[in-house]
Amino acid sequence: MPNNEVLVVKDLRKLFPVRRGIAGALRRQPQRWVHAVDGISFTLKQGEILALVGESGSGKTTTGLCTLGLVEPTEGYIQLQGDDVVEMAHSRRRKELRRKAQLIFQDPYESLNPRQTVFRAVSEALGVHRLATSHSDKVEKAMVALEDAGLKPASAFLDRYPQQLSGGQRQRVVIASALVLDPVYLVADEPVSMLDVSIRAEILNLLLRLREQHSITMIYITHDLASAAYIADRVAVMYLGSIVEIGPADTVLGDPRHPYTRSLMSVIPVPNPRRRRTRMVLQGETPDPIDLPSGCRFHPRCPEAFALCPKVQPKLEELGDDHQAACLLASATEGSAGP
Amino acid sequence: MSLLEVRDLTVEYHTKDGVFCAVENLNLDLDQGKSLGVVGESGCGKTTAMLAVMRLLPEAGRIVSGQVFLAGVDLLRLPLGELRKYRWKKISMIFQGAMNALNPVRTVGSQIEEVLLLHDTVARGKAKAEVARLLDLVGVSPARANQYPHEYSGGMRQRAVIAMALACQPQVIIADEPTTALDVMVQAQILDLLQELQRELDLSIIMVTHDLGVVAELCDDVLVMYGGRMAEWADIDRIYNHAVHPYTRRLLHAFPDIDDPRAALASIPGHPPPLDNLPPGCRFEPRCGVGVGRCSRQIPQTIEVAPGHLVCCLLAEGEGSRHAQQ
Repeated sequence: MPNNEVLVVKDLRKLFPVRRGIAGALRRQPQRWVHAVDGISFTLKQGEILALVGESGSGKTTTGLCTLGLVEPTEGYIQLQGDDVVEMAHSRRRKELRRKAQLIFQDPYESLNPRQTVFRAVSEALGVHRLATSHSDKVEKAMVALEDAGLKPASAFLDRYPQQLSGGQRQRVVIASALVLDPVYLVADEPVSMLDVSIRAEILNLLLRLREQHSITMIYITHDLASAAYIADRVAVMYLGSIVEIGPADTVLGDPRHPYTRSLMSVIPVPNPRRRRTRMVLQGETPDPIDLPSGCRFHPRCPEAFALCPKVQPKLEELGDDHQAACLLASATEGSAGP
Repeated sequence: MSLLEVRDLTVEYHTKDGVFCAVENLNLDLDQGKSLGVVGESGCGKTTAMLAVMRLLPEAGRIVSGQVFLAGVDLLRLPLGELRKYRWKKISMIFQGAMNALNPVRTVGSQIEEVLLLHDTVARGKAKAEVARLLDLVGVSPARANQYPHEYSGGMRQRAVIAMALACQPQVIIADEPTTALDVMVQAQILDLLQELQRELDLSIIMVTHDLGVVAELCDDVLVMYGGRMAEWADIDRIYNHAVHPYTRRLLHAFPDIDDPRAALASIPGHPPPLDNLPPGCRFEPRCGVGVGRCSRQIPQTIEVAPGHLVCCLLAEGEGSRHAQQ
């Protein structure tokens, strides 16, 4: 069923220009580019949750913003329910795009206006999109969204201000203001990383419930593989703007083939001292996405790199069961399921 | 006798709205070269307790009672002049978010140097060399001493802050959420660094965190705090495999486990009690779910359910007597 595909991303590439100083411009230094996202493709079926996992600077957020039409890609195309997202963002159908595709930010302390009540935060978009026939309709829709987001009874929250709410409640308000527009597609960018551990589970479970009830298609952006494993159907591991491994969550995490995925998994703290494992800690940080390493981008930090790695850029290779990895060693390491 | 012993520590905040008790009768022990994890949600008094140990409470904070023995000396009884010989020199603290509080217009090296000179740790002429040694110790190239904080990545800024905390060669370091804002890989690097430093310098570390995974990786003992009180105290293995207090158990269930990713996560509905409205009995009772009638009235006493395993829960009484009979 091809119609079942809500989001199609094909060869997405996004470069940001590096600003030259005036001296640089006078000396006619060549324009340099940040390769934020460098040629990635994936599709999302209706109701599917894809986790984009990687360190800071791997291009997760840029990918998310591109799919929402908030950042214009340099190359490639993105389709939401068969419509070209870039085209929609530049046409009269922009509003329709803004209604269908929603974004939840990382920091619920900063994404709400401190001087707006919960009701205004949730209902404002209804006015913009003319989705409410009257004030009472607006109140009713806002209350439904709040209850959907787990703020019960909704009437108790309508007149509150963000500072009267806890972090978890704020994030629920943010989710409610996305839900009120009845979106088909949602990007959740690190929605729990600012929250206390005891509340994280609540928000993750809420996202899972929304998928059940409204079959919303989601991208969940995180650097935490454990929460990705919990919530996602599929996982895409990103490194320096490309997907290095993608597949069903259970397969990718059960049998990770890319050394980067294995290393990411090994550093996740396991909440049990009896299962302390050897951490495969990569030294340094993600290299500068301006001057990309030759060959495989991961080779300077890869513990398993060999002579060919700096020369050949590996492509995503099918490993069966919809599982793909971009590593010269991927097919060779069959069966060695990580540390 | 342990290197650091906190006994019956009670801390109140005196504000214009009244007096609020933030930490009540807290006890903890820390041996030389060991590490202790202090866990609990935000608002459970973890940071207040640690600030009290350092005698760095904000103005409204009052230490009402208790003792903090460092190598047998009660820090809370020392006059300020005497305290200077201990604070930062014997016991030091890495504050939450300190990596973002570095002075942006001064080089990292000069900020570390300032700490050294202020505490007369080294002679003026040797300060630069000591800065280089400290940076090297925490894995930052000494050549970067002349760079400004914005030229450092997050992980490097955190390393610089650790170098500052180590400047006066303390025996005890209190690290308040040292990895919270960091990426997973950088977090792992910082945890590795802390472990290395602990081995090399025979440091004792208190890790304040809400991340039970971090504690499992790093700590020997765990103190679980709730509503300003101890909920449970045990060595790491017992906390993760034989937790008794319902709060500890539920915290563990709220934490995703990469080895068992599909296990249902159960959050703990509600929030830690606000300080101006503390429940009269057990402070966890309103969220507990397995409590009995008297939980809401009776303050639970500390029970030793096994040697070195302390629990503050009325439901643990049976276990305590079982243990006593054995």
